Amino acid sequence: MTADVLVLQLANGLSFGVIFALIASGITLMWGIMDFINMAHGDFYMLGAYGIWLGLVIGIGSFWLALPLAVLGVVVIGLLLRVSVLRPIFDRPPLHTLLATYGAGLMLQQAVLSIFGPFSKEIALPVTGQIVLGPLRYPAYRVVVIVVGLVLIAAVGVLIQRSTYGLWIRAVAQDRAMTAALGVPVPRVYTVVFALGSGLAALGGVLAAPLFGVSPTMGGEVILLAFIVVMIGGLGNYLGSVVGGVLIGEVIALGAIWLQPTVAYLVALGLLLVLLLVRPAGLLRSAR
Amino acid sequence: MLRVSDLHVFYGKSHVLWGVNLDVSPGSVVALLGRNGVGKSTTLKAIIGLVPAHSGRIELETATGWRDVTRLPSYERAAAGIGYVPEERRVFPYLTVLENLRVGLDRLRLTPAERRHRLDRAFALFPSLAELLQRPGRVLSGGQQQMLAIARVLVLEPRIILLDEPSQGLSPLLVDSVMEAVTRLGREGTAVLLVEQNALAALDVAERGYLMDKGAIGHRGTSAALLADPRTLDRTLGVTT
Repeated sequence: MTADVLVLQLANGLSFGVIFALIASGITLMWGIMDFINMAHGDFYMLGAYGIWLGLVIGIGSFWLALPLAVLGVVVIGLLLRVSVLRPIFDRPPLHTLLATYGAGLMLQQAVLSIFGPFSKEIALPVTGQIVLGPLRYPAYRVVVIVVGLVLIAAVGVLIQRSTYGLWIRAVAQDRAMTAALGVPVPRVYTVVFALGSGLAALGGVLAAPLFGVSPTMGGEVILLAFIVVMIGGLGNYLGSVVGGVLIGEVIALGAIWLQPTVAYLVALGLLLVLLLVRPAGLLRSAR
Repeated sequence: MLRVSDLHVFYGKSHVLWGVNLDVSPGSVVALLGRNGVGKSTTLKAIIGLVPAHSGRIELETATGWRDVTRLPSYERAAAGIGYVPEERRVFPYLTVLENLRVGLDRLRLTPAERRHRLDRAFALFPSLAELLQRPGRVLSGGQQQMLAIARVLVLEPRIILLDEPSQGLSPLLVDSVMEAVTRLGREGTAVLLVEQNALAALDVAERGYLMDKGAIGHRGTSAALLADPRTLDRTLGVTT
């Protein structure tokens, strides 16, 4: 193995990791703050990918123009799901919301399957060409994924740290009842969290679509890892989910230097299992 | 200001409040006293909406008249003018003192000057808080947390404050300053419903008192009348005057 391969795989790991981080940060917000496990979260990722594909198919010429529309569309679907399925059962035991969101996810997958068919779709890279750094050549689009993903993750992080809704989100994560007793409209905070979470997952899907293609089952492929990332990062810890996402991306990418991709995936899962045994509360502290 | 009528509360199958009736008039300090476990804190939690009322009514007097808040979620009760300082203080451990104060304050659409004014009033009452603005809630001492818990409700300028065991765990000096703050609130027009283990200290600052026993109000009267009835105080509270 040369140093070049190592650097390229580190960069690949970062681009995978940013996509994992986008999905996991949405889960950690919903789980840590609303105390609710959204099994349909991977399907928001899938819908984001279909959204960008559809946007390009119906004639929105630019990937970058279709991106916000795809994300917005998924946020709207997410909020409709919250109002129609989740709000009526919000105070029920966790198993109810778990099953309800699992069912909702299956419905979304079946709807996509019925409308767009079972075959995966390809999207042309919106940024072609390569970035040359000395002897290294690296696909420009992957650099774009890293930069756009990290910038938007940071933007949401700043929102959580600096805005009033961010303050309320942190307060709800620490003591929901007391936040409400101070007059904060907690259901509205949940709506904002749900919109942010579904938007982040959709953004992950949009950015992943040109790299991995678009298929109805793509959400299921990432959701398990994303949940593990959340546990590694510390439940409800936004920064932790980003660190966990990048970590898992790097483990898979670096493992692939020496191992078959499926074996690398298994090794990554094994390492994460060990990490959880050693630090059950995650790398960073839980928000609760 | 606040009227509670025939309030019943259950925890699961346990019937814990058995028809509580009480009222607090504007600007008055009213003490709710009783031994441990008789339902004082549960009464306050039911008024703010942290435990649901099984039956009965909780009404708040607002600018437009009496409003039934019994079925409102707690954030709407707080917005209607009920402030709550819990027994355990429950400051947000990972928010700074200033952020703790902002949680409720940011909900109000205040001008920067009005906001500053409200914070200054709270700091006038508890000057040491002004020195701790950037400290996270978890590193504060018990007394500082108590001051913060009261201050974060005071800045909202509620019509009535439900104050649960404010002297618990505090040094005698701090108890005096908290009780002085309670007296001052009443003078400034904020009603206070005070739950307190230290019955004599509570009756000293309150105009009236309710004595609770086994989930219901057993006795009521002015503080002077209750203090003049040592047998009842001894029987209900185990207090000898």
